[in-house]
This record gives sequence, structure tokens and C-alpha cells, in this order.
Amino acid sequence: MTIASMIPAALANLFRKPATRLYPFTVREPFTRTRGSITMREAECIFCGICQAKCPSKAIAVVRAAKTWQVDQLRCLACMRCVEVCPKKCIEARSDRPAPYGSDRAGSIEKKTAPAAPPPAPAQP
Amino acid sequence: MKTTIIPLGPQHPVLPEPLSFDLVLDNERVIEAIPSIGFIHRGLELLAPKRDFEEFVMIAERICGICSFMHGMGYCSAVEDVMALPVPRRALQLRVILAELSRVHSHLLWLGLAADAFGFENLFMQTWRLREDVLDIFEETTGGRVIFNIVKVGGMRKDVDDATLARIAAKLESIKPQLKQITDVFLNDYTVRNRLAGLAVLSGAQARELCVVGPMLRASGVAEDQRTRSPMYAGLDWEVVTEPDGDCYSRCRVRVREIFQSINLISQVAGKMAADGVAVKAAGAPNGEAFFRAEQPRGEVVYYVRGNGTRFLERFRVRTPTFANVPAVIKLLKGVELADVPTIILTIDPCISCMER
Amino acid sequence: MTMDITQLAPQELPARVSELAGAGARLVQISAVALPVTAAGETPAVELTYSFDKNGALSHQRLLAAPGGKVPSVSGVYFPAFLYENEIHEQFGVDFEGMAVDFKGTLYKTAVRVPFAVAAPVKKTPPPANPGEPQAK
Repeated sequence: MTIASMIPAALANLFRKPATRLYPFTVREPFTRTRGSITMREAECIFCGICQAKCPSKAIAVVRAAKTWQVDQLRCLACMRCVEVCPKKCIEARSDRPAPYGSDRAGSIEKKTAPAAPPPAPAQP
Repeated sequence: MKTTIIPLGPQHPVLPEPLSFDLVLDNERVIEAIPSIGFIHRGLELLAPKRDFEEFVMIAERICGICSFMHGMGYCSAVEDVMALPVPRRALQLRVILAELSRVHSHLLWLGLAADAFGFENLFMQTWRLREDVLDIFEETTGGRVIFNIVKVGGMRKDVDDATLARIAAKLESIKPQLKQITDVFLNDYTVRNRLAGLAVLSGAQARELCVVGPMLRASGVAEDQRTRSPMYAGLDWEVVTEPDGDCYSRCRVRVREIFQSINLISQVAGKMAADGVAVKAAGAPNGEAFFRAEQPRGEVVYYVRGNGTRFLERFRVRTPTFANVPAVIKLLKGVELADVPTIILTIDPCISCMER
Repeated sequence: MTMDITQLAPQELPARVSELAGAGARLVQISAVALPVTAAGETPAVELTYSFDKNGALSHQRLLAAPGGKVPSVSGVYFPAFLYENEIHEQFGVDFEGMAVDFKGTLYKTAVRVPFAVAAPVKKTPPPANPGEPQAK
């Protein structure tokens, strides 16, 4: 191939669309089953601690008395064992990965507490 | 004779995992190759007595990223043998499909690395681009691209419905033309043939004597494949892929033919799926010992499990195919040119993280 | 699952292995299990299993290496055996005599020497019987 025959090819490549996806500007839709991360619906949680016992990487921490639940997203493997064993089925599997964290791991621990109980209805006169 | 000793590895562009050789050279010819391993030894077998046997699948799967599914499957099959669990046929068929998909993705990975080893980087990229289609299939069915988390003692954790399986078989058939285009370069291109043909010849008798396994053995004309011993492959239309010459080109050819054969096997199994559920409960604890052999993409893998009636296994041992093939490399490296050393090391398809666990 | 296991003494190993090699058997693997010890810190006896494949059928030769005992190497007959024997020497502390390639304990270079022997399970002794009652099993 001579230089002369390369020039049209080079110019054409300059003005063609890129062959690859421009991540992070375009993100591919994950599949439904992709194991991305977990989240928890705190209204249904009974803080039994089974998810903590079954977690292989000890990413979940539950304090029953204080009614708190937290997951360290950086330790979580997204293996979905907690989703399987939760008796109330309140842990949800999500197909998107959490966004990257900085070296200080800020925000990697997601905390949830039981929602405050609604005030009792006023007594009937 | 003045000799020089140069180190190859542990970090080297062609090696997927760290492996070190001290090459004793006379000019450009290798006189002796002294291996050093242990860079990625994690002692995973020591974790077996410390984890519940049902949870240990997760560790077995993480022995290696390329062979991850078959490690999980092999461990579960060995434990199911000890506990005599009646695993449903559909689960076993799903395992066959995922195992053959693992073979396709692993051989495509190897083809890419082989192209990189003899300097053909563009071919490496094109092969791995095709492999992305297979990884997408994994992600769609199991949820992960590399570590699948889908096999458990007693069967599979999730089912894949027949419509999806039919779609997967169709997708694999549709990538066959591109696959043919790429593999034709490996098999017919003049420069590739020059690099591979006649290199590191192992005769059938030598291969048996060195106890090599997998495509290394089959490329020397010996028809040994652990899938012939599995009842799941008995009803399928296939035959063991062998080549007579025993050189690097033959091993490349064996792996290329096995990719096409695996796509064929997947289509066959996807058309005859049973409907008897995907798992049985693993009641009780393993008590006894069992050996289980499977055919990983790299060769015969042996799992040994010993349980003592508690939920913690007494011993878990994996003998991976690379462990059986590495002594052959030490013999094959004698007398070759320096530039051919990476190609010969790659020809056994080394998976060092499997070898060292 | 029935397994074809033959028990041997360590001295009988070279003869049996030569016999198997003559019959064309392939060495599949050599594995080791550290047998339970009576007290933590003791050197365990190691049970070695040599597996051979003849025409697809797996057969095993099993022998017991006493603590501190020596086992003859089979790498003269089966060259790849040196890799298994070096690994077992480093992980379990079994001495093999006459290995074809001897790494002298530098194969894996773990921080803890002989890790599998150190982690050998301790046999639980049954609690002592109360007077007048039979010993619990």
C-alpha cells in the first residue's frame, strides 16, 4: 500500500462514527439478570440478621435493638444470597453497579433504619 | 560454551497469569528452562474445613476466572457424588450448556493470546471482540460475565427457560461466519503457519509418557476426552477431536475445531431439555470420599472431596490440567529459539491461578 | 460410589508403579490428606493417594506416610510426579527420596511452613465417663 492510498482511508476514519461505545457518556443497558448491587426496603425489614449471617463477605451489618441495617457496597459481591434468604423478601437485587468511589471510600456504606412509626390517632371524644 | 540466563516472567505480556522461567541460553537457543511457580498461591484448599460446604462453591468458583464455571460444577458434582443426591436432568443439561459455553469463551481467549504471542495484535482484538458475544450470553443467563454464581450443590440456583436457550443457540449459530473468518486466519495464513507448524512436537507415545491432558494430548493423536465418560454426552452426536501431528499448529487446530463442536453440542442439548426442575435440596452433610473428573477447556480436571459427616469438609483437592501439563513444557523448551518460547508456553493453555489455587 | 483402592506400604510403591507404567497406565494425580492428630501442634501422619488411569478406569494406590517418614519418589518412572511430590513436601512435610527435580522447599514459599500439617484437625476425645456409667463413644 502506498501513502497515497492510505490518505483517503485516514480521512474517512477521521469523519466516521467511533466504532466503540463512548463510556461513560453512553452506558449500556444492563440485562435483567445482571447482578449489580443490592438495596433494601426498610419499611418491610424486621432486622432479623439472617442476611448478615449468610453474607460471604460480611458486607451487611444489622443491629436489631437499634433497628439499623447497613451494607458496604465495596465489600458486596452481588452474589444475591441475602436476596434469597431474606424471610420478608425486602432485599432487592438491582442490575446496575454503584458508581465508583474515591480512595476515601466516602458514601460506600449505605445505611437504613426503620421508618418512624406514624403518630397514634387522637382518641375519639 | 558461554551461556546467559534470562528471566521470562513472572510478568510477561503473553502470560495471562504469573509464571516464571529462568532460561539458560546459548546465543538464542534455550538449553534449559528452570521454572518458578507460587506467585499466585492462595491456599484455597485450606479454606474447605472452615466454610460450610454449600458456601464453599463460591470459593471453588473463584479458583480461576477463565475456568470458573467448571470449577464450581466439578466441586458440586463431587459433593453430590458423596451425598448420592439425585440431581434433576434439566440441571445437568444446563450445566452441560454452560460448560460448553465456557469452552467456547476459553478457547477464544486462548486464540487471542496465541495471536498476541506471535505478534498479531489485530487478530487478538478481533478474536476477543467475538468473545464479547459469548460473555453477553453469560451475563444474560447467569448475571455475571466471569463469575457466574449459578451452580449449587443439588443443581442450579436459577433456571433458564427454553425460549432463552433457543435464542442462545441461534445467536451462536449466527456468529459462526465471523468465527470461520477469524479461525481461517489462524489455520491458513502463511505467517501464522510459519510460526506454529513444526514447533514443539510431541509424539503420541511421548505425550502419554509425560501424562499430559486435554488438547495437548489430543493434538498428538491420542483420543482421550473425559466427556466420553459422562452420561450427559452419551446421547449426543459428537466425536473426540484429534490431530495427528503433535506440534503447536495441531494444538491450535484442535482448539478451533472444539469451538465449532461446542456450538454444535449446545444446539443439540438446547433442543432436548427435560422439564424436571433445576435443584434438589442438599439434605444432611457429606460423609465419605469421591473423585470426580471433568473435561475443562484445558484438559482433564480431578476433584477430590472427603467429608466426615459435619457441614465442613475434611479435604478438598483440585488437580487442574495445567498442573499436569507444566512438566511437559519444561521438556519442550529445550533446544528452541528464544522467540518461540512464549508460543510454546502458551500452547499448553496455562492457567496458573488454577494450577496453584 | 465405589472406588478401586489398594493399600500399600511405602516400600512397595516403586514396584507397583513400575508395573502400572509397564501396563500403560497414566498418572492422573497424587493427593495427600493430613490425618487427625491427638493434640494441636503434633506432626500428622499423611495419607497419600496415587491415582492412575487405564483405558478410562481410575484406580488408586493408597499409602500412609508416618510422621517424619520417607516415601520413595516415582518421578523416575513418571516424570511429572516431581511437581506433585514437591507440593506435598512443602504443604504436608512428607520427605520424598530421589525426586527428579527438587525445589528444596521453595516451590510456594508460604509464610507458614507446612501449612496443611499445621492445620491438621485435632481428634476430639470423648469426655471421661462418670463412675458407674459406661464410657460414651
